[in-house]
Parts: sequence; C-alpha cells; structure tokens
Amino acid sequence: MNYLLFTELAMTAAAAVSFVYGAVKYLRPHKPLYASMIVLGVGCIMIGRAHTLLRMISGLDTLNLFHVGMLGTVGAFAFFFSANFGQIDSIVDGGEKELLKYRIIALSGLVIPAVLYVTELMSPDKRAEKIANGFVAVAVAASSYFHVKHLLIPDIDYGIVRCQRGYNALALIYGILCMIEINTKAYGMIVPDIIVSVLECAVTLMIVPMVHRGVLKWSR
Amino acid sequence: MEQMSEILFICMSLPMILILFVLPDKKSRLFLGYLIIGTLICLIAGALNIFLLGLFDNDVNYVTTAITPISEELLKAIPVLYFALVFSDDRETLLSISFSLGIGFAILENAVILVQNISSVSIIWALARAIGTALMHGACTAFSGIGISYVHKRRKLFFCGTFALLIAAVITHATFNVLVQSHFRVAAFILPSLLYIPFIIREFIKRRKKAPAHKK
Repeated sequence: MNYLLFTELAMTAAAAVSFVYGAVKYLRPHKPLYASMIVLGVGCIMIGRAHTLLRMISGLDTLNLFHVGMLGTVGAFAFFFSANFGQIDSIVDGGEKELLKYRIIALSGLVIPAVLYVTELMSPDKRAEKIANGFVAVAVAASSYFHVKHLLIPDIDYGIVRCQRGYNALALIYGILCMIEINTKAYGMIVPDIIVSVLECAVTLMIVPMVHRGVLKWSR
Repeated sequence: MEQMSEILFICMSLPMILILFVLPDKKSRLFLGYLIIGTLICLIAGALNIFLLGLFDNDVNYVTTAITPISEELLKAIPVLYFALVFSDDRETLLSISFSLGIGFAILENAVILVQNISSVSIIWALARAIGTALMHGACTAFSGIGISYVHKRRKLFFCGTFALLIAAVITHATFNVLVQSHFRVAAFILPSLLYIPFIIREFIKRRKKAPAHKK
C-alpha cells in the first residue's frame, strides 16, 4: 500500500484527537474565542487531511493537481492568523514606537515560508499545484509573522501573549513543516516526507494542549 | 429538456413567491425569501458549473470534487453577506437565513438531479438526498453565516474568520461530493447528520433554559 496513505491517515488521526480534545474544552459558550479559533484551525487540518485521505481511498488523484484537501492548511493558518491578529495583537501592540523593532524582527517569520515556496516553484510540479501551494505559503507566512512577533514581544501589562508562547512556537514550527512537506512531495523525497509527516503529527497533537496550558496560566 | 433547470425553478419558486406576499409575519417572509434566493443561487450555480466543466475538459469527477464546492459556497455566501451589511448582523437571524438559503439550494439541486436520473431513482434515493444534501448545504452556508455575523462588530475577525469558515465549508462540501461518488455513499448521508444533530441538541438545551424565564 502507498506510504502516502499511511502518513495521511496518521495526520488525520492526530488532528482528530487534538480537535476532539479542544472541542470538548473550548467549543462551548463563555470560553475564550482565541482558544476556540485555534481549535477550529486544528479542525480545518483534520477535515483537509481527511479529504485528501478520502480522495486516495476513492482512487482519485492527489498529486500534481489542485484539490480541496490542500485548503485545510490554508484554513488552519487563516484561523491561527485570525486568532492572533483579530483577538490578541491589539492588546499587546497599540502602535507604540518602542515596539517597532519587534515588528521588524517579526518580518523574519515571512522569510522561511517564502524561501521554501521559491524552492517548490523550481520543482517539476504542475502549474495548478504551484498556484495552490502559493495560497498555502501566503497563509503560513501571514500567520508566521504574528507567531514570531508574539514569541518576542514583551507583554508586561496583561501577560496573555506570554502565556501562549508555547503555542506560538508550535504553530510556527507546524507552518515550516507544512512548507517542507510541500517540497518533499514536489521533489518525490520519500524518507524526508515520512519524517516531516511524523513531526507534523507530533506538533498537531501538542497544539491544543499547549493552548490549554496557556489559558490556564493566564486565568490563574 | 435543455431548459429543465429554469422550468423547475419557475415551478418551485413562483408559488413560493406568491405566498411571500400573503404571510403576515416578517420573520416567516424573511426565511421563505431566503429559501427562494437559495433556489435562484442554485440556478446560477448550475449555469456556472456548466462553464467550469468546459474549462476542465468535462471532467465531472474532478470538477465536482475540487472546483464547484468553491464556486457554490462563494455564491451562497453573497446573499448572507448582503443581508448582514444592509439589514442586520444578528447572529441568530444570520444562521437561520443561511440555513434557509442552503436548504433552498438543495431543493432545486435535488429536483434537477431527480429529473436527470428519473429512471433510476427510488424512495431510499429520495430520503438520502433529501436529508444528506439539504443538511450539507444548510450547514455549510451556516458556517459562513457565523463569520459574517462579525461584519459590523469586529472587522478584523470578520475578514479572516469568514475566509477561514468559508474554507471549512468548501472542504466539508467537497468531502460530501467525494463520498457520494465513492463506495462509501452511506457515509455521505451520515456526515451532514453529524453536523446537524449536535447543533439541534444545543438549540434544544438553549430553548429549555430560556423557557422558564418566559413563564415568569
């Protein structure tokens, strides 16, 4: 049986476990919207992976063409971006001049996804897949900016962002892993692809418990 | 038979339009109105799908599992967004009208598929499509409705949240379409129920909690 089927199955299962745990904890009234959005992001990873898995089982193509499963990563990072940008960022960054250096350093978060996308553009992938992967790269890069920013910014007044540094580090790593996965698939590198998939499973499993730990810290 | 979708649309929506002016209650008119808009959106989506099929060399399998879920979910979100921008961004109302719109879409879609496959349909087919497709379209449009409800309240959340929820709706829709065409057809009709049942239980609990307050 195809190794891709196993890796996709493992990633769907990891995301499902993480999502169910998060749904029980946070998809209820009077729970922090920030955490709920991250749980929905993990839910997006789950349905995206499940869709890809289902395409494989049904005998439909998943390589060298655009398919909706790819949008799972875009949706996940749109939720992560939305949680950081729409919910938390204005609390720690009111546009003060002293924080300018953190905003500039955070731009480094865009570099890795951009470089990895350029390497994918040079691969023998078809144009449709390169365009679709471009959407993934944009979503990962936009989200990574806030992950790096919230890892570094001094959160003296509220301490909310400081509590979520573990989550931001994991989300940043997950984004980079997704971009590496795109490359390993594009160049047909089987062993690196399996390694990246295992790491993605581990990170996906850890994201929601890490957010939960952060929520407990700030509500203590 | 070329204009079958249009004929079905007229047969179904015209009587509903006529009753629209008779209904005394504003809310009922709103929900019925969005049901009719749902059938109209289905008609437009049908025309767009034919165009998209031509673009992708008439590969029905690929287009229905990768392209039309995107176009259909985008089309269904437009009237909900219009309502939120112009009339009200109340979440309960938006969820109800999005669900009505999705159901309206499914009604015409089912009728068109019924006419196209008239020789092979059965009661089981009707039950499966009526429940599965209607719930799937209703739930997917409601996903977008949740994000759109932030349009005036929190702009930052509205833009990225709606985009993210729209993607979730597209993937759910596409997964349903893949399941329908696969050997796991039964799962295609269980999936929307899995989305619908928790929602109904939540609503039921909410109404029960509200009920004693009204009695007082």
